[in-house]
Amino acid sequence: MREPVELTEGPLKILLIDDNRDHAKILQWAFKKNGRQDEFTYFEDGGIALEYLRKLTAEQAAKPDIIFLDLNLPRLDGREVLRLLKEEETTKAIPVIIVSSSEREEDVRKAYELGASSYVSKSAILNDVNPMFQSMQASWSKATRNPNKI
Amino acid sequence: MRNTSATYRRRPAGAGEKTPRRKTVLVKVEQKNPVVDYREAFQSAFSRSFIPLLITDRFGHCVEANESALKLLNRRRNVLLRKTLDAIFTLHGTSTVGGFQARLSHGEPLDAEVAFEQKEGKLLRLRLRATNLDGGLRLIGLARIHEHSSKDHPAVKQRGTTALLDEFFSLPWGDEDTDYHSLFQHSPYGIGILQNDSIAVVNPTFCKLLGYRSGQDIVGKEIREFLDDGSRMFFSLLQHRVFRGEAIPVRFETRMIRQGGSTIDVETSFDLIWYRGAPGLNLTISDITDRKELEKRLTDSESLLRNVINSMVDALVITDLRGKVLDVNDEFQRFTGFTRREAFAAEIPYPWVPEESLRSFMSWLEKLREHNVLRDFDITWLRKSGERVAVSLNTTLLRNATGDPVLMVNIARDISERQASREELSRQLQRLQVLYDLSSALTETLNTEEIARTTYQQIEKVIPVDGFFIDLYDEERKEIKPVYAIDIVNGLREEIAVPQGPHSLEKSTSAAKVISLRKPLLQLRNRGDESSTSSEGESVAASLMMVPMVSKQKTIGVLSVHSYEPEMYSHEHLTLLQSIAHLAGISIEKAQLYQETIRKSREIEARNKELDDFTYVVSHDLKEPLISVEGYAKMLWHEYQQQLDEGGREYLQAVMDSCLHMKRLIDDLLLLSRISKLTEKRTRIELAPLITDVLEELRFSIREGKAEIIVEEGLADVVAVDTHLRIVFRNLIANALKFCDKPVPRIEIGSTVSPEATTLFVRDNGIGIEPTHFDKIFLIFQRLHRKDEYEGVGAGLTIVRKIIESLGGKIWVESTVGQGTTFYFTIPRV
Repeated sequence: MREPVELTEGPLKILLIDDNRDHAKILQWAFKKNGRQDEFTYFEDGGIALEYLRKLTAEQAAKPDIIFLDLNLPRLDGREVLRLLKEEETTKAIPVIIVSSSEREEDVRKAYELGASSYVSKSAILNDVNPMFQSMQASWSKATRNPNKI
Repeated sequence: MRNTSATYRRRPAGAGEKTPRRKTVLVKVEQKNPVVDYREAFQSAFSRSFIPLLITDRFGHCVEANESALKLLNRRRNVLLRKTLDAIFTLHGTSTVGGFQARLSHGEPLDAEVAFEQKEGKLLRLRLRATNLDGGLRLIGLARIHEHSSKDHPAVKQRGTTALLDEFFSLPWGDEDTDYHSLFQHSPYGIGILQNDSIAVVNPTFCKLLGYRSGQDIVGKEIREFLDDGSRMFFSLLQHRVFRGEAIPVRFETRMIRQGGSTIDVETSFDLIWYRGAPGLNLTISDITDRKELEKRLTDSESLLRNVINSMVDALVITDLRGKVLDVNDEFQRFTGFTRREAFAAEIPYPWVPEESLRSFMSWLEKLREHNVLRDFDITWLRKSGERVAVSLNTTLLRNATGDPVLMVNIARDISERQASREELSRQLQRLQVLYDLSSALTETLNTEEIARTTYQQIEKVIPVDGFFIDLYDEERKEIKPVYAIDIVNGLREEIAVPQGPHSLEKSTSAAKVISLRKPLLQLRNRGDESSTSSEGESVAASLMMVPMVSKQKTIGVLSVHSYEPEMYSHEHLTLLQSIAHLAGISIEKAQLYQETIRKSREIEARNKELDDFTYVVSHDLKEPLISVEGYAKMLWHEYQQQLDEGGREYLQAVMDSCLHMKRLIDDLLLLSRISKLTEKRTRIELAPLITDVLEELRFSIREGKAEIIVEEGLADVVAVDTHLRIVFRNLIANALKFCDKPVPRIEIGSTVSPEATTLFVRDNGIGIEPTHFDKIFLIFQRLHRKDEYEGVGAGLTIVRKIIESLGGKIWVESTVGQGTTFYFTIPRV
């Protein structure tokens, strides 16, 4: 693993949706290992994650800064979760980064079509997490600078 | 000629007694022979003379004209009679009519040139001589000046008209005896007078004709001595009839015996005359040997012509210009069935020209006016039996010597055989055409029903069809399946598409026999056999043909046609139908194979897709836990490295290596599963920059192995998927670098171009491959070496082959162990 890239922003509130607990655990470890202090909220199920977000809106609580979303989810599929997130007024401004084990072109294209801010491969993250950090930061800063134009 | 004597008889009653009897022989000119009733003889001589003669009475009126004169002046006798010479002729150089007549009436001999106005207004110039006869009569002789006519007597032609006239008029005229003598002696005819069957007197010509020098040799002898046996009887018969006052032929032919025994054919005529106070016969003979000879030749040539005409193989019809039939030949009678008698005098429309041909026949004749000969006019004739036959007509217009058309000669040739063979030929041609059309039409379709329809459309052109069926036969299931049927339903031709489903083949049916024996069937119900159903109750056509459709020694079906008319089909039809069925069979077989191929390739495509999908899902699913294993191994490595001893760390490292290896395997599998999906993304790719990129990616290995890379210049462009082509070259070059034992690895990359494909190669000087392994190297995860000898997952060449094949190309290898390997692959040029 290479040296972590210096991030200008402080810890972010990250909503992580992945049915594979191991992957979620490894990802959070890799973030921590690379010196990130981000606050993860983890959901195995896309539907429940959406419920949670609605609840946050209703309570006018602080929303996550960024969402990490896996594509292959049981029940509500990751693509469907993404579509709903981008439909919802209250959540559509939140950047979504797809974190998937699939490197299939169709999946990547579809994700961007649905409004994903970035797409990273899980295998790649295991090798080097820095690209992930970079795209995360790019997505996040873009969203904060221009929240309505995602 | 002879009838002149009937109109002009100058013999006054009792004239016979007027002249005293003189016993002399009238053969010598110098002798003055008192001839009693000389006028009879004169009349005879006058009328026969070839010198044109007229006689005028004392008043100058024309009272007689002989035949020669009438011919010369081209007038009827009645027109001339009672006219004065002034009214008939114009005296040359004088317009005074009276003068001419006056000179004539003076009784002096006259020799003058006169003009005679012919009917057309043309003037005929004549020499006219006149001399006095006894009793105030004047004999006028005429001669044409300068002109000769083909109609002239040979003697006239020979000696000239005027010379003859002069000679004639130099004779002593003006006395009864001499007048007669002159004429008698001068006559070109043989004249003799018979009394009591004996010859009383003859003229020199008579002697000459019979070959005697003088009349003395003849006179006193019986006429029968001079007659040929065949003529004698007839002669005496006529002689008696004349004396009895009965009518006899004006002229008849007699064969007389000349001196020395030879014979002469003469034309004979009789006059009853009064000679020396007793009745006698004035016998006139003229030589007709020439004529007879001519006649004989004519008869000969006529019979020759007749023979020729009759031996002609063509029918001949001779008509006059109006089309009236004058003659036909034997072949005409045989060919048409009309007899000569029936044909004779037939006029248009002829009974042998049918109504439908009449118009064209008339226009044919119409054309004849412009041409002398018309050739090869095909027309139909009608035999007497009512049968129609094709003939080719050649018509010739015959003209006479002056060029005027006189006859039409029609030669008709029987061309029914030619016509029949022509029809047969055109039938054969049509059949060939149908077979050709069919075979070319059939290549355009691979649809069984369409083939059946096309086949029907072609068959219909050459075979009468009321019903048409194609049934296919499934040999394995012993089933027959109708695929196409056409039948007359309520008088209308209806296409019955796929009438029934398949049914098992019953042994008893005709179709079963045709299939099992693989032999055609021709079934004809006789005319008059009215049963229309078979014993099984199924409808039976009157004429039926069933032929097997055979392809590759296998009966694939039956083609049947039928007609409700009995006796419609011949073996010729059957043979043709077999050829058609053969073509149709091959096409149907081809269509079935094609459909089968399509089905199979679709199946294979589906299977491949399934396999790809499966591979993808499996690889992907394998990837998830692998990520976990790798992730935890990494966590273990980073978090608990210190707690592990050397052995533990070694094991953990092995886990991470395996994870890496498995990841590569999975990545390769994922790549493999997706190659065929991406072939649509082909583009035209320049090879040189692409290979440069790949070499750049591999620069560390190249540098490390000190390899020498030679890339041919002017590499061709190819149409391929860019990323895939990179994978191909990367794999091949990496392999070449990897499997090398030489100090300087040497890699050559090049291409050759053919119209169909670009062939590329990657050649190395490496370890080489055993020929037995040429196939194995392309199989997935197959390794020829231990993993620790050469690293890699063993999917590279599999991926390369799949990429090449997905582009429609192929890949192969040539290698010598220890010397090197060349991978060739082709990429089709699009």
